[in-house]
Amino acid sequence: MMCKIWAGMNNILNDFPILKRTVHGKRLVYLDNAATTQKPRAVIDALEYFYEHTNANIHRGIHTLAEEATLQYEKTRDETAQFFGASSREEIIFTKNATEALNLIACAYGRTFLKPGDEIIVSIAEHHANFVPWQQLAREIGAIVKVIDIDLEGRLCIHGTKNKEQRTKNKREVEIGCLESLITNRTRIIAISHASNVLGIVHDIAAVVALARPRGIIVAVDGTQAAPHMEINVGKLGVDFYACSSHKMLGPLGVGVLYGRREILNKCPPFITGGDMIKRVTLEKIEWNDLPWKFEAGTPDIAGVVAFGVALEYIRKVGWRLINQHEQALGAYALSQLIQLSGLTLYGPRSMEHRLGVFSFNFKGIHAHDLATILDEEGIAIRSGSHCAHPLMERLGVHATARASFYLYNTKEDVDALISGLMKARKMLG
Amino acid sequence: MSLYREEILDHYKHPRNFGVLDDATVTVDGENSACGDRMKFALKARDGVLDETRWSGSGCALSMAGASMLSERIKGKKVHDIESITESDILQMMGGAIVQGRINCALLCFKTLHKGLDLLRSEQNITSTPMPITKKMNISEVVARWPETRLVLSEYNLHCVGCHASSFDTLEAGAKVHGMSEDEIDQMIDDLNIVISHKKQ
Ligand SMILES: Cc1ncc(COP(=O)(O)O)c(C=O)c1O
Repeated sequence: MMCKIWAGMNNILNDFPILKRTVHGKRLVYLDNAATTQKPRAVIDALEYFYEHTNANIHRGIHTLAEEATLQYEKTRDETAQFFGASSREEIIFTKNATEALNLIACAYGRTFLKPGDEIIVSIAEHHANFVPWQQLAREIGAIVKVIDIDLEGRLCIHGTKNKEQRTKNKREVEIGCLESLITNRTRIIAISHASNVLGIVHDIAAVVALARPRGIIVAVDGTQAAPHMEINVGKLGVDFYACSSHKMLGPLGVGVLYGRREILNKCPPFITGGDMIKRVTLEKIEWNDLPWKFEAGTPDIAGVVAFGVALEYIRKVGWRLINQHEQALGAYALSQLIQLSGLTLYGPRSMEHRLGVFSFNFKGIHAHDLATILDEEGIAIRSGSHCAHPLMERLGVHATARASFYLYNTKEDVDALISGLMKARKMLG
Repeated sequence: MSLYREEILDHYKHPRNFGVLDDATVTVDGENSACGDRMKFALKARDGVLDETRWSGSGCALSMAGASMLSERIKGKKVHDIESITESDILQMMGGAIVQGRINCALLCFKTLHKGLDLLRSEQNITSTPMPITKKMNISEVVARWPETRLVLSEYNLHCVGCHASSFDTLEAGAKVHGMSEDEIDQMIDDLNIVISHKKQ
């Protein structure tokens, strides 16, 4: 079965020009997809085409180029809305990255609607982009942050009333435990990632929404790691906000997406102010523009957005069925090979159930940075460090891990290269 | 060429001067908090010479090999010469092929050593040059012995022509005439001591 999936891969490999380059004289084996993904030819061409044929500012010009640029930009919004199952195009806001999208939620919604003593729940597995904005917001308005813990496998504790524990951080008590036990009548927001950038676990958003919805709690999801790998339907998920980054899903750098439910976005004041987000401004008063432009102040990365549309089209053409099959099969193969290496500590589940091909590990007491450097000398790109997830690292009791993360253009040969690179590291430093 | 040359691997696997020093003059910690590399440097100095050094720590091969190599390089050397070692000397010592992403690993030993040297300097300032000027000293006596204090005193409005404070007052008494607080007086004494220590060097 695996062979069949990989047989279709040659076409895909050919679509990614960068995969033809060498690093230190070796074939590039790119396994840092959780940091950013490579771009297919079509996306690179779209960027070039925009700057060669269309380049103009949007929403303001009458001339042909401005008209074309505006149409392409807004068409991408339609495609994005469709791609993520939003009920209308007004619910899609383009930002500069996922980080900005998450900050937008904390600032525009959080600052407006949260009061002192209100509670925000985040998970211990969050990337700093979905942790720090909430910590900061809580500090500003006197709200309280509570933290969802993980179980032994690394999965979030959703149900249950036990496992509640107090921890001291910066002299303040932070409550950490199962989501269900953390919810009170002061809980206003649950900010949670759809998938962990360290452990690769796909979190059970439906279960979170089931707890939150009846209580009127807002659910804000950081979908940065999930959106590249699985079909997302924000309507079906029932979430209020969903954020992700173009560059992690084959699109260009510099573009982020925020989905927000229209009723909520309508109530929020703008995040950044300036041009384009204003309907009318006089010396005395201002009238905000309509959704979604209210949240898109200033000139956006127009070429980036247009090329992001092409990335979405690419994903759609390959199809989720093929992507999921390939990634699951490849992930299972990588997992089986990794856990066979003696001295390798894998963080996160040892099965591909509700899991992506993101593998964090330590090996033989060799520091993750050394692993990354030795693998780089073999042309293999992995990530090492704390992955912008200090609370999770602390919880796992490690300073750094090595992380190999896969995408649709990776192959069985890439896994084999990783394994033999690790064996080389063991020989050198182990 | 690999970053992990034979020499680096050798120092990583067989660290030199690894351990602790019971009679160290100073012991300092260094850390790269992001990746968890940490080390301790113990320095024992006498008469401006680093008689003995030991280090200990845990972390990546580059940081550990760097500390080991550096410890060999500084042992028995004049503190003054050790102070002139630069960051690029360290990178050179490690083979010069350090990529940007690993610079902090390689330089942890350098940063830790410099913390130690700073401490050594301040420690020795306290023990070998106690502050010679005290507030109980006579103004005229101080000026006669260290003429360079004139400037500081005039900045504090002491020692000026027609001054209310008599030159035969103590520094403290003179300062009080000018309405200076205890804190200000201490500050002035510090400044005076700094001026004369600079002159000596
Ligand atoms: C889970 C998660 N959230 C947010 C981000 C931030 O993405 P960006 O840097 O594109 O804003 C990342 C990126 O590493 C991530 O993995």
